Amino acid sequence: MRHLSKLILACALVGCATAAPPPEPPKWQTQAEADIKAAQAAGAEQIPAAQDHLAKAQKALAAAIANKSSLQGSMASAEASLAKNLAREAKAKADLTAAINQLNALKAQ
Amino acid sequence: MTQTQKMFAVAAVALLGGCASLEPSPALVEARNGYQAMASSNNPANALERAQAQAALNKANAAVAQNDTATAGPLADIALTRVQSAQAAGSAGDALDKLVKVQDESLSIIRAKGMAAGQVTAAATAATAMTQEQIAKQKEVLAAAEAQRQRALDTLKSFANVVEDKDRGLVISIGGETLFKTNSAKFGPSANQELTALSVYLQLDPRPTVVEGHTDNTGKPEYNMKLSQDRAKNVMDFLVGQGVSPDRITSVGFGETRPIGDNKTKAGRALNRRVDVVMVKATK
Repeated sequence: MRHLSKLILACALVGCATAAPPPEPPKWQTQAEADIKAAQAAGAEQIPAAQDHLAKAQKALAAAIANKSSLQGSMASAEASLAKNLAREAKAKADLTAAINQLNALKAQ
Repeated sequence: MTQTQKMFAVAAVALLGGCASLEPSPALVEARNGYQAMASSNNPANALERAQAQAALNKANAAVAQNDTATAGPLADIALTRVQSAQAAGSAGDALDKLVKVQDESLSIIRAKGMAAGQVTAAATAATAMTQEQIAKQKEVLAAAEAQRQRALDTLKSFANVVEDKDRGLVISIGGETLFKTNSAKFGPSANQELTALSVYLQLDPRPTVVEGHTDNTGKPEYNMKLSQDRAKNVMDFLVGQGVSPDRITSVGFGETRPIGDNKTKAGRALNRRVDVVMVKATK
């Protein structure tokens, strides 16, 4: 019995060692995940105009993975790209406004 | 109505219903209008996003043309989102351009007023520190756009002769046999792929462009002049159709008047039958 249980344990370990690695995600999924990360890095979560599109991207990605749909994956990428660029636009405009105010302050000195 | 007549009536209705063309959705119409409004832009800050928008729009238009009801709606939504993304990227780039100019002006004032490092106001210091990050980001965007332009140029070199002419500018010379059917201004089978690659490059390099048509001296000079003009115009029209701004591109035919090879030899005549796309050198 002891030998049998050792044999079963050994077979289980060999089975684990030789198990096939999980399949790689499709390219559209990898791209969409990268686009969402880029949007988050650009500060989309803090910019009201971008938050909605980032949420749509995340929702579309979840649906794409569940349905194995490259079309939904493409939508996730597009929404994430929009969120990223809206965040960049808002930040650039805010920085420009601050710089103009500071220039005016320098001119007034 | 007999059974046969009923069957034909049902089939006719189904056929007519199937042949009815798909109407573009409001999203697709908005995407088309939005893209058209920025098609003439040469802003490097959103070159990548514009290219992505164009690709998405092409897919959406194709779905409509093919009556693909399953994908036309989602593809139109994707196209509109990509167009909006390109608009936002362009706007961010414009704001960064202005930011750099404002910062330059601030620094000029600081220098003109003879402010030493310790005398610079806290606000000016903050402005300098903040915009260094923005300038770095802008440089990153411009570097990415330049890398994309270089990749597109490398693609052109696989089928065209590309030379920087000190008088004319960048000359992209494509053989007539590559683009056209023999003795015709109609495109041959490989023209679409090559002219599409050319249009990608032109959208990344905003210089004014002249499309020149040239022929060898076989046949009458008047015929060769007309053929070269038609060929140049067809190439220009294709490029404009792919998104190159019509404001920066013109076409002209030179017939047999500007040979680069010896018309007495077969190889020389082949060299002379060409289209030169000249990115005009900037004048000082």
